[in-house]
Amino acid sequence: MIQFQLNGKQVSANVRPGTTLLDFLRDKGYFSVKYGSDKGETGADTILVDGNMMNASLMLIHTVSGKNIETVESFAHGQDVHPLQDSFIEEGAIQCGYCTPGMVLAIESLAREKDNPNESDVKDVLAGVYCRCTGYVKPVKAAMNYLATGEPK
Amino acid sequence: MWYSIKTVEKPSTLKEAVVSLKNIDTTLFSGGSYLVADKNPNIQSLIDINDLVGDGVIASIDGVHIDAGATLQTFLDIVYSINPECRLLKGIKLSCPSKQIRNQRTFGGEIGKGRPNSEVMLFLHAVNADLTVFTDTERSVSIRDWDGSGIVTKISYFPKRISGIELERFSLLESAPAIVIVSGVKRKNQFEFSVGGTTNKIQSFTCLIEDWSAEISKEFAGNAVKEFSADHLGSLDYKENLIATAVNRVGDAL
Repeated sequence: MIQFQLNGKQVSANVRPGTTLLDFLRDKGYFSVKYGSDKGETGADTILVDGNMMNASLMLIHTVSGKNIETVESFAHGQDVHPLQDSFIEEGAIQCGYCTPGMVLAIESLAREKDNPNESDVKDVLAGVYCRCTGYVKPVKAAMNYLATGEPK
Repeated sequence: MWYSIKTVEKPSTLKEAVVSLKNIDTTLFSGGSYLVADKNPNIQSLIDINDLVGDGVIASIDGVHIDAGATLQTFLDIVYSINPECRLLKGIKLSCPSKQIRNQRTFGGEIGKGRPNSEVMLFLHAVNADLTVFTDTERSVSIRDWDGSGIVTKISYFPKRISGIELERFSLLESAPAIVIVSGVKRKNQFEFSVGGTTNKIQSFTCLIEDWSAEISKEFAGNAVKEFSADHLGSLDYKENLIATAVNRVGDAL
C-alpha cells in the first residue's frame, strides 16, 4: 500500500508494482495529466512532486510514497481560476490545450523556486513541454506577466 | 504501465542489493527515467536503491563529489552558484534539455546506462572521474576502466588535476542528440580525448602535447570511426571527417 498527498489530500494506492503515476492519476480521473509518450519528451504528463516538476509517465507509483503530488486540478475551483491560468487566458496562450496544464505547472514551480525569474528561466522550464499549436511566444509572455505580479499561488 | 514488473525489492544494504542483482530478470532502480521509458519486458524485479545511496553534491576547487543518487538538476543548482563557468553544467543541459527529466535522472543512472551520446558521460570521461563502486566491498575505479559491474555509489573528479577542458559536438539541431561529441582535457604534458555520439561506446585517446598535429587527429578519427555505423545521419566517411574536425577544434582550443 502506497500513501502520499495528492492535491492536498492523503491518498492510498494498492496497485501493481509496475504502475506508473500517470496510469494511476488518469485512472482516478485526473485528466489534466496527459499521455504524450513513454519517454517523457513531451512534458504533457508534467506534475509537481514536492514542488519539483517531473514526468508522471517516468515515475513508478512506489517511488512517490510519502511525497506531495500536485496536478493542475488543484489550481482552479470552478470558474475561479489561478492567476497564472488567468494570465494564459488573457494572453490567448492556449490553443488545443493539451500541453497547457504542463506549462502552468512548470511556470508555477519556477515561481515558487526562484525570486525574480527572467525570460531565460521561463524558457528553460518550458523546454520540457512540447507545444505544437501556439508555440511559445504567448505562453512565455503569459508567464512573464504572471511572474511580474509576484503573486504565485 | 510496465507490465512485466512483478516485484520491487528494497534491500536494506548494498550487499543485499548485489546479491539480488545476480538474478537475470532483475535490475537496479534509482531515478528510473531510462528504465521506465524503456520498459524492458525481460525485467521482472526492480531493486530500488534510492534509500541506499546519497543524493548530495559537494563542489569545491579541490574536488567535486557527487552521490550516485544526486539528480542532474541538483548538480546544476549547487554548482551553478559556485562556478557558473563549469563546462559540465552546459553539458548537462545539452544532454537533457527537459527540467522534468533533470529532476528525475540521477548520475548513477546516467553512468549505469552508459549512453555514448550523453554529454555528461563525455565530460566524466574527459576528466576521468573516479567511481566508488560497491561489489563485495567498496573500491575506487576510473570511469574509463569501469567494466560495468557493481553499484556506483559516488562519482568524484578533481578540477585541479586538469588545466583545460573543451567539448565539441555536431548535431542536426542544438537540442538533438549529437552525431559526434568529442571532449578533451589538458593534463600535465598530454591531451586526452574522448569520442562519443551515435556510436557503440565511448573511446579515449591520449597524445603528448609536443606530438599534437592535424595528422594525429586524423589518426584518432580513423580509429574512433570503427565503432560508428553508417546510417541516416551520414556515411562513415562523413562521420570520420566530423570526428577529425571536432578533435582538431578541441585540441586547438586546449
